[in-house]
Amino acid sequence: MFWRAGSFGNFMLRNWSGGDGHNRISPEEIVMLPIEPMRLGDLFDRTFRITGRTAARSALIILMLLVPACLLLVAGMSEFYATLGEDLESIASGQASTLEDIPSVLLGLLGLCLPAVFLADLAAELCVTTFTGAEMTGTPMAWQQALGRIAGIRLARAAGVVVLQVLAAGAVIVAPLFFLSLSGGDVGLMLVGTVILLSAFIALIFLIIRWAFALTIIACEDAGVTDSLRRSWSLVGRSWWRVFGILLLFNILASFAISLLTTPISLVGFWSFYKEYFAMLGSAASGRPDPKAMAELISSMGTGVGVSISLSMLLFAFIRPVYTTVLYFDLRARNQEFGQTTETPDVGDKPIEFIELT
Amino acid sequence: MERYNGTWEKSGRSLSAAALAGLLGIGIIYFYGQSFLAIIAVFSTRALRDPPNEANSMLEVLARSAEFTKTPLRISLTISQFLLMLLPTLWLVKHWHTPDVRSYLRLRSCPLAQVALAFAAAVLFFPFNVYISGLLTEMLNIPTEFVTIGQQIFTASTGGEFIFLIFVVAVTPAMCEEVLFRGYAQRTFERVLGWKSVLVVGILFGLYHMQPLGLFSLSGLGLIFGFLFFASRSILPGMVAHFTNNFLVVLSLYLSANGQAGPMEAGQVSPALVGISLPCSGAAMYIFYRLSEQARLSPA
Repeated sequence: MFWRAGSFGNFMLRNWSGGDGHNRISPEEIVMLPIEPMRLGDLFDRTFRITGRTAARSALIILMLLVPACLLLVAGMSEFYATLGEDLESIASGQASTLEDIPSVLLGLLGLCLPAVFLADLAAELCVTTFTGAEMTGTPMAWQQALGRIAGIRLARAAGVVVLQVLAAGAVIVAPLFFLSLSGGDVGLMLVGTVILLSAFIALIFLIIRWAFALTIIACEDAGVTDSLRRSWSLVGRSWWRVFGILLLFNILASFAISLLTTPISLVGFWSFYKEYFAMLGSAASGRPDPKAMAELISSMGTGVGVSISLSMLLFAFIRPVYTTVLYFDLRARNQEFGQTTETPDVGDKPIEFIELT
Repeated sequence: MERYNGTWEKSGRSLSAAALAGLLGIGIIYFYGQSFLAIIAVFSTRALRDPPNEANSMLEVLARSAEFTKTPLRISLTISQFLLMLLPTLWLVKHWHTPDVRSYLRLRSCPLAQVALAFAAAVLFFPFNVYISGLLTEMLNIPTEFVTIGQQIFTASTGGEFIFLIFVVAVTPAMCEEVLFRGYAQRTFERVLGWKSVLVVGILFGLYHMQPLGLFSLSGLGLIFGFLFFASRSILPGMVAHFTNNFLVVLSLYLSANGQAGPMEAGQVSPALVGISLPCSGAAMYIFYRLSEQARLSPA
């Protein structure tokens, strides 16, 4: 298997020179960076440094790929909530009895906006992963190169991986739910079903962690769909708890940082919603509740919801691939894929050494 | 001279990453821990005395609920500031940077003139805060009743409660938040970014409060506290200014609750007053800066 190449230099030439002969770089040009087993602080530090170094390129990629899709999402959400509000108002005034316009708007949202956002998000994450991998190995890459690398087959493979993961996750959860639905009110069967459902959630978490690096492997190693899943599975191996803990921690940190940034910005998106909300509260408090207030409140939610989701997505696309890729390299170092002779767990007490190109 | 021999320092990692990791890590511990403590405190109160159950309107339900939960929330807020913000910050400085925690945090005295100017800067900035807050409340049409209910946790109705609130709202954050934001985060960023650390941490201070409507005024306050810390090389002036601002909030709400006109009432703050007081606040800070030249020449 090509990823089991014994030397780091071979890995570099195979994976960061295009693999197909384009842009081949000689070993002399490669600026080596330390790739060793890292402690938690090192992982954070490396993530921070690489995020800073790739910020401009990542921002450009996200601006080109993800922002248009997010604008589409905001427009879709606004349309959806506005239609929902109008339908509710028609029902309240007795002009209609069902949410008649919702199915067509929902179809547009699900059929156009969400696939566009999914693909754009995937492409952006693959690009940022490619930048990070290139930085980790000391061969910074231009955004055009990264974009050229992920366009086409790698993006299709990444989409395939995500579809497979979703199907697997669905199967794990749907089976016990189906069992529960068959229980027919029998307490014993419901208890068994609940235990099976809880076990399924644990199994799902297990699978998510085992396959956490599939996209990174597609971006960095040009692996196929099943190969990337298999490779991620073996890479996590006995480090499951460590990977779980670190990914959980980094996700919490990223979510917290993103919520700090998005809270004030979301206010702008939710401005009209808040105005309607307080107007409704005011009318309710004064004892003269406005029957149309709820419909207007729902109508005003769309932009805020769209902006909030989009902002979170944009910022996550900026950070998540970086720490996932840094952790991926850490796991590779722990599996001694870079030719280290010994593991150095206590990096904090000595200067970082540069590994030799072998 | 300080000995930077903590684990983060020895590993050669980025200092900005340390500041950010500290802010995010302690932020998570503090916010989640505070929520957990608040839930425990509210449920303990419910177990000890019956919650209000008779109300004629939604407004009354909210008002009674705010009245019922204010004491447990104040207690959980104070405990979490000391246990989940101050202590982890001290631990972080000691283990990541240096055993000389006092020196790192710049816990040192400063001339009385600096204290007086920090106090003046905060007092003169206060009308701007009230004006901005009132403006946003007006723009969003927030009903007065809801503003009053929201402020209940900071409103004292008796002299004893007023003293208690000064400790909860003014003393505690002035100590704990200043140690985290100025003593640790700004001090660490400052070693890399210099004066720009004032801007970075000032804005982060505003964002950290997670109050979108208060972002401008809180960031403004963060910039003032950061400037005082940077200019004087002491954490004390920032603490004084922080205490002053929060004290004014408690005082004005106390006066309003007791039927007296407090400076917190947005309608009383005219743009003209803001136009006079804001430059005066800037002038106080300029004098502060000139007075602190000697402190800046001495080692960090």
